[in-house]
Amino acid sequence: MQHIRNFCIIAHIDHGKSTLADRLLEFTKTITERQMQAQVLDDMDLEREKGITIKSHAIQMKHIHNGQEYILNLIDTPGHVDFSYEVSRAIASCEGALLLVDAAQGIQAQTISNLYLAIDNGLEIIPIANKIDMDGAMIEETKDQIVDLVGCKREDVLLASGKTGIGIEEILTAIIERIPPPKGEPTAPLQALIFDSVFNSFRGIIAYFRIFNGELKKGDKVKFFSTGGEYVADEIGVLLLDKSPRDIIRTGDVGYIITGIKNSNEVKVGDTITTVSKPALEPIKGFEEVKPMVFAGIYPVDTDDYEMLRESIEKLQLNDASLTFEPESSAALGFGFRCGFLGMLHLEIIQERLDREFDMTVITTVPNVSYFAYLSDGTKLQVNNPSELPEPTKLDRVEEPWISASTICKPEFIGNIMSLCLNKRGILKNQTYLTPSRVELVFEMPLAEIVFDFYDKLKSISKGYASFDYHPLDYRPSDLVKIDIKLNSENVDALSALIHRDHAYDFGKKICEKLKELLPRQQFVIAIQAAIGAKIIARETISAMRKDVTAKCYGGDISRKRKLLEKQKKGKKRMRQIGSVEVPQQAFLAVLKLND
Amino acid sequence: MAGIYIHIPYCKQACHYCNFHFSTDKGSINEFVEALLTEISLKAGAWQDEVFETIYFGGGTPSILSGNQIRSIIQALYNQYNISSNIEQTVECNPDDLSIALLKELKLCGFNRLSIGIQSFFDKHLQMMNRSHNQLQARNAIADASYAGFSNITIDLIYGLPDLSVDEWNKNLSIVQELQVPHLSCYSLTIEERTALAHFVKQNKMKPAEDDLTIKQYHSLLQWSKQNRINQYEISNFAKAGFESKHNSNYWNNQPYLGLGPSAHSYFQNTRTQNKPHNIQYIRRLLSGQLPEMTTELLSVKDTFNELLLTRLRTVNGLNRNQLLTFPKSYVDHVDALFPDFNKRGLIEYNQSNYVLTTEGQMLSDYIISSLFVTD
Repeated sequence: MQHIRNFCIIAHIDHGKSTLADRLLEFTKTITERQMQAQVLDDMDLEREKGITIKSHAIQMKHIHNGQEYILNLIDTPGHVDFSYEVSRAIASCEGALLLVDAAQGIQAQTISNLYLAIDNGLEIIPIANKIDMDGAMIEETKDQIVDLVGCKREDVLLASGKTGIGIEEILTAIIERIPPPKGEPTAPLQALIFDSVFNSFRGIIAYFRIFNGELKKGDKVKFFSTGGEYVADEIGVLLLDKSPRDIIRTGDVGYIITGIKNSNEVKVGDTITTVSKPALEPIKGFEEVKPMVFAGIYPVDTDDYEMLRESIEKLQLNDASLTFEPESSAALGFGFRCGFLGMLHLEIIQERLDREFDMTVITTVPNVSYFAYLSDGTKLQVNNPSELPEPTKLDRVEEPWISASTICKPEFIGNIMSLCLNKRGILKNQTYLTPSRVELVFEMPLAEIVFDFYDKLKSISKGYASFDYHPLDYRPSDLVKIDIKLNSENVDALSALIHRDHAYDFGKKICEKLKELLPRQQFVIAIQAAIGAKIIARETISAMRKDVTAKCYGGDISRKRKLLEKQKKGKKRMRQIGSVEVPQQAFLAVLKLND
Repeated sequence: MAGIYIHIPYCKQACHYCNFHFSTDKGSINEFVEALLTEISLKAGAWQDEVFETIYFGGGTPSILSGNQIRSIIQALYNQYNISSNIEQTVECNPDDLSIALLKELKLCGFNRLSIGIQSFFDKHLQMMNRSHNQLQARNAIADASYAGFSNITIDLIYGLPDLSVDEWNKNLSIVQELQVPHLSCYSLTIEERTALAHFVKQNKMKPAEDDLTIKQYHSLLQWSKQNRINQYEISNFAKAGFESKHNSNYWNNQPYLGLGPSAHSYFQNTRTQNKPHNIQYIRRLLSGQLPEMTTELLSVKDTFNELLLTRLRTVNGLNRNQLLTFPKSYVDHVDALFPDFNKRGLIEYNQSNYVLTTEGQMLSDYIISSLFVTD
């Protein structure tokens, strides 16, 4: 145990985490150059493109220092705000963290919140200024920022470049010398923390864990604390470039376990594994059920693909227990699923994975957060769908989730960001100058407000510089209304939205305008209306199409025109019929693009 | 009733609305003519069983060629193909190319029909469209053509232009009447993708005409055509009795045609073939003795059915229901099922076994025809 070091890397997207990880793996000969795919740790295509790690992994390295072999377990952390709980469990599994800061960009919001989380967990922080070979590198300023934040000495800050390999050996030495070895009682009952899991179609769920006390042997009968499920440890091992089976994993070490579980709901991140024969008295602290925060309907573009969509979502869920779904149906869209997501990025990722991995193009309805409705008779209802909101007459009040949001930016953008957040019903709680050129603003605001166009706006008003992080706070009363959208008086249920009353008129107006832009003209007039109950709050009209005629139709025009018309007709087949109005799929996404 | 279409893929300058195949780089014209002569020879054998009743030079701008070049092409056709003595021989011309000398040469080459690309008799419209001529050249061209002995003249006009009032449109029509032109093609401006116009519209530099205004102009046109007995025989085509274009009517009557030159289409026994629209590759292949690269499409029963709807419903005589009966019953049922609603809405009528579009229906012809299309 004295020769084990468990660490993670805290970094902002694009600050070079994956490249640095690659260099560490190369330097310790954990992988050969030939095995080297660029950025080994991010093995989903989507992750590589978005530059974020969606699902964390772990990898074990060996390094000889002063004649002694050390085992270094690198636990990778997901890099997006929606996955903060998973990050917290990865951090809880480590004794130390590399704080990686891009010397050309400085510290970002997400880095700070994860850094505080690491400090709170008592991790030893090894600060690194990365990308020092870049032209724009501000090494001294970055050091200042780090010293201010971490409270370390200037000389503690290592300098590195993942690209050229500068500083890699110093980092390995620092990991061994500065990070304390794990503590724990080898003879105590087993307590292993699950910090991640993946689904393998042949082996089932593979859970990644860190042992705090006791040890785990192959063939042990194990129990998961939160679910109470009991299983046999069919295979255990450590994670090199691939799984490497072992007979025993000891205190302080990191490994994986395969028990033949097929259902991702049975393996929860944050849960504790113990043995049935000698069970621990209590689990490792900090377990939380991860609950979806954002809900949206997902429908197949082609109504016949409903069964296929179900299968696809089921498969995704195997890999991603935070995704929830239940069947729902819409008059406009037919049969689909109400899905729950950790946040908007999670929603986007699921949508893209459906498209790429299952070739399923889907229509996503207006996302909303999960509300609590309190009826006059005291009943409490969860509302995940606009149609579930009770009649105003029966309603006592509605409560909505609030978050604490933190953003870090240059001082010149404070004004813009402040007005954005205040517009979004935010309350400024704190403003801190981290350095003269970096300010952290902390707001409390309703989660619902970041569901629509928040990220895009934040990016554009700060020229892309402001970084953002949030965590859930509590539920607070909200003056919520349900907006319905009507096409020639027919309600389009898939476009109904739950909106705070202050934003209702603006939202209704914008969505009507956007629909006017997106709906093709038809042979009759189309009235687009937004309504709260019976009250119309916005209206747009699309005039009837009276001219649709080809000018020339000779020789080659004939087949060209036939194909064009056939193609248009095929496109129409994919449209949804609302009363007499044909609605293209993209119109259902209108609300997500109100500011385009 | 077979026809020959010759595509001359060169223009002096690019009209802003045009999406046909052409090049403004005229450096290769001489080689092109040589290549075309080779294509004429290479394809002659396969078309020996046909008697051609029409020859049509289109483009591009055929009048960009010299008299000698045109003559060599015509001679090659007459030498190697069976050309009817009752030939309709048309050439498209730009007004600014039509010198008396060229007109005489065309006459000597056997052309008996001239198609002049006038588009408008107002300079502001011609400039907006980037045409190479002005309104004076337009009038002169028509007068000179009559003087040179052409009685069968057709001109093209465009309505639905962004800057065309109903009065201006009526003025254009009255000039046609003044000049005693017996055939007229009137095209409602279509903003095609990948044209300068489409670009201007996208950049908000130009606002397309309102539908209602375009429809008013169309109604004026129909009224004018009735008054002057220049009868509509297809959505975009009007002629005095006996002056209807045989060549174009062939397209709508499912007759075979041979297309020569880059981008030209041929049609023979349910097969449509297109020469690749690429001047330099066309020239290179033919000058090395090979046929140009072609794409061939075998029309399925469904394709043929849809094309029948597309071409026939655009004609004033309409679609004869008996012609449909050679197709699968489900196709005919599909048309029968949709007819009553279109009929009720005043878009199609049924007269003496013919489905005929009404005036309102003509303006919505693409919508109606595609609704009637059979799809998989």
